[in-house]
Amino acid sequence: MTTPVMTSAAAAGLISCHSCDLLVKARPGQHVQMCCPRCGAALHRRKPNSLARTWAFVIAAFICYIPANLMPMTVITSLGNVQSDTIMSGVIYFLQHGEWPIGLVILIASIVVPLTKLFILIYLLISVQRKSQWRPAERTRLYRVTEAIGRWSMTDIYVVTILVALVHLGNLATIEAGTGAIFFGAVVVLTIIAAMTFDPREIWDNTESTA
Amino acid sequence: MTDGTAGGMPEKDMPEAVVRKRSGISIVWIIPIVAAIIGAWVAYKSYSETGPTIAITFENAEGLEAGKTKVKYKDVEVGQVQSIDLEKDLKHVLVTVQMHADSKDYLTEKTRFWVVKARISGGTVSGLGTLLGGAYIAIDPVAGGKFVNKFVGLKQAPIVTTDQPGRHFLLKADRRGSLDMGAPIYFRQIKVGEVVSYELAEDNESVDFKIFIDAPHHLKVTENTRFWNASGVDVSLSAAGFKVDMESTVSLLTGGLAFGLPPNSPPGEVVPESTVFTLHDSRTVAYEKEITMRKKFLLYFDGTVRGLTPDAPVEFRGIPLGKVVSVDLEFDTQTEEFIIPVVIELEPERFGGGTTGYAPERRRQILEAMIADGLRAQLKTGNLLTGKLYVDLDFYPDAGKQVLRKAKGYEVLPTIPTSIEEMTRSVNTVLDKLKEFPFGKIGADMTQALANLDRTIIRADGTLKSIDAMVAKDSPMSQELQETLRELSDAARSLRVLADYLERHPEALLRGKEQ
Repeated sequence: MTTPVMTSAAAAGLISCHSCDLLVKARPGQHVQMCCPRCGAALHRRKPNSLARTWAFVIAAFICYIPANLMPMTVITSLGNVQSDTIMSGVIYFLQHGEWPIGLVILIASIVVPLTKLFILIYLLISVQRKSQWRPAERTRLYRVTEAIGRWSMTDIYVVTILVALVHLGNLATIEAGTGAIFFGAVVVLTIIAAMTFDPREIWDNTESTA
Repeated sequence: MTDGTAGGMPEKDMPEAVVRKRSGISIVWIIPIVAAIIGAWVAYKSYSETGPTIAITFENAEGLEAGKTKVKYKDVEVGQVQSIDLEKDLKHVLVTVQMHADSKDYLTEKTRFWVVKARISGGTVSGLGTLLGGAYIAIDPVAGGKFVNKFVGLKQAPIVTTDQPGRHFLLKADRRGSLDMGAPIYFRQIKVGEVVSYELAEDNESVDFKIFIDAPHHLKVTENTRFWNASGVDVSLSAAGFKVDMESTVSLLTGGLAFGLPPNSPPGEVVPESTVFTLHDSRTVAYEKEITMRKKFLLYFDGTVRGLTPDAPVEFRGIPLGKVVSVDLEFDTQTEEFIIPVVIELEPERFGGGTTGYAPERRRQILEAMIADGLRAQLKTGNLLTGKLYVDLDFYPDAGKQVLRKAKGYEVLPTIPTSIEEMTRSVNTVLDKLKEFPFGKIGADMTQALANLDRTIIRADGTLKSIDAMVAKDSPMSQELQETLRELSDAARSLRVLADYLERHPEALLRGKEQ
């Protein structure tokens, strides 16, 4: 048996319709919108405008990441004493009080994961734009990891949401979500969308064009 | 690759994609722009809400927590402690505070900060809320001044904050007494103010108290107002009886001040802020005429001055005129005798102040004349229990002639011995007289007189015996007496019979007895 021909649909000049899976022959020309002749859905060779969109979401996520870390995540009022905590101050609080596991969980879920995701996406975007051919398989795996871990950053938001809903003891203790929580939620959502809009096939396109 | 097929479908049979025009720039870029706008807005908001960062130095950071402790004014949060660090010299702590916006106006040189903790002092409990909520930094804002961002925190809460209406005054006292910060000030036994602070005067000669009188009572402080220490109990014994006087029980514990006008004194003008007053030891002292002029004199005493101490009063006919300044002992090398120079201080204003205007020469002449008239100083016992002495000035026209002289720069007033000394002398004289008394002769005379008396008594005894014999029952005299009495009684009876008869027959007087 001969080695299978390594070719992609795009290289073969074909597009599959997202809606009805009709295999369509692509038409040349960059700035044209192709439609499925059977169901009329828009046809895309790759995720449309993937790089630009991913960039946009990544940048938006980065912008939101700054207030997410600077603004207070929770505002705890207990016995008339108001205390607002940012993500980092919470982590430091737990680490200082010997709660290593909880501190590490928050540190990883809320700081390491979103940042890693953002940097991986940026690396993938740049490498695609520079038409890098270096280890496409590993880069694809990196992308899959990014997509998989992204949602786990939401744990922090869930914790805050549950606390806010549960702790309403009037003057004794009240917890409110701070501005940072909103921005942090935005960061998580934006990175998820950014990972979704990124088209890992672009990684392979570069290897094909020169092969 | 050109002959490649997909799905086994021939290439030529495949449908071709329809072409549609698409717009230029992707709409997706709105998302980062919106994020940037929101981020910028949040950044601007938090920036506009944050005021200046200031540094406050405290003695220690007790109760303060970085990131938690608030700065409050009238219980409204106006800032938050960001960090607490030790100063390089390790003597103080440096508290960095992030103030809220608009706080710049009142962060001036006069603005004060202090830590509010639960405090119990002088009968007041404050800051109980901090027991639960933790300590906070309080601010006493003073608007209108140059902005500063470095402050020195107060050790204690100030007694008076700037927004409190009233007036500050300064009091000078010899010693602190039991007065503490926050000690109450009374006017007619109503609390009208507090002691704000006290410190040693720069010349170490007095203690300066800073006090605050609340409005509207500060208008009661006038030119002639006197302040006195009202700590403790004033017990006085007078002709009216035993009297205990105190301003309040609180002042008994924490000390206190009182002020008022001396009797028969016009109030005078209301005085401005920071006027200096003297703090007197008691109301009695305060109400005395204010003495500004003191004149020192020297007294030489020969006898003992035991019981005479500095500050002992100098009186003239019972009215205090001054006090003793010092009592010393000296050896006079010329006469080779011990002498006791006593320096006294007279206050001429106490006798109306009329003489204060005299020229020194005129004053000296008057004093000389007085001494010639017999003005003398004498030690007298003021208190029989303690044996304390006081110096009494009075005129003794019989005293020998003395002249005014000067010694050690003081005018010397002549003295006469103390009354005890004088008494001793008189007793001595009596004893001398007694010594000359002829006790021997008197004794002999007395013996003779007694012998005579003896004889007289023996004779009297004989006389009494014969009287006894005379009045005895069986004596002839007694029997004769009884006889006489019996006859007298018979005579009386016949007289009664005659009288009865005459009453019934008065004519019998003329006609005689009817037969």
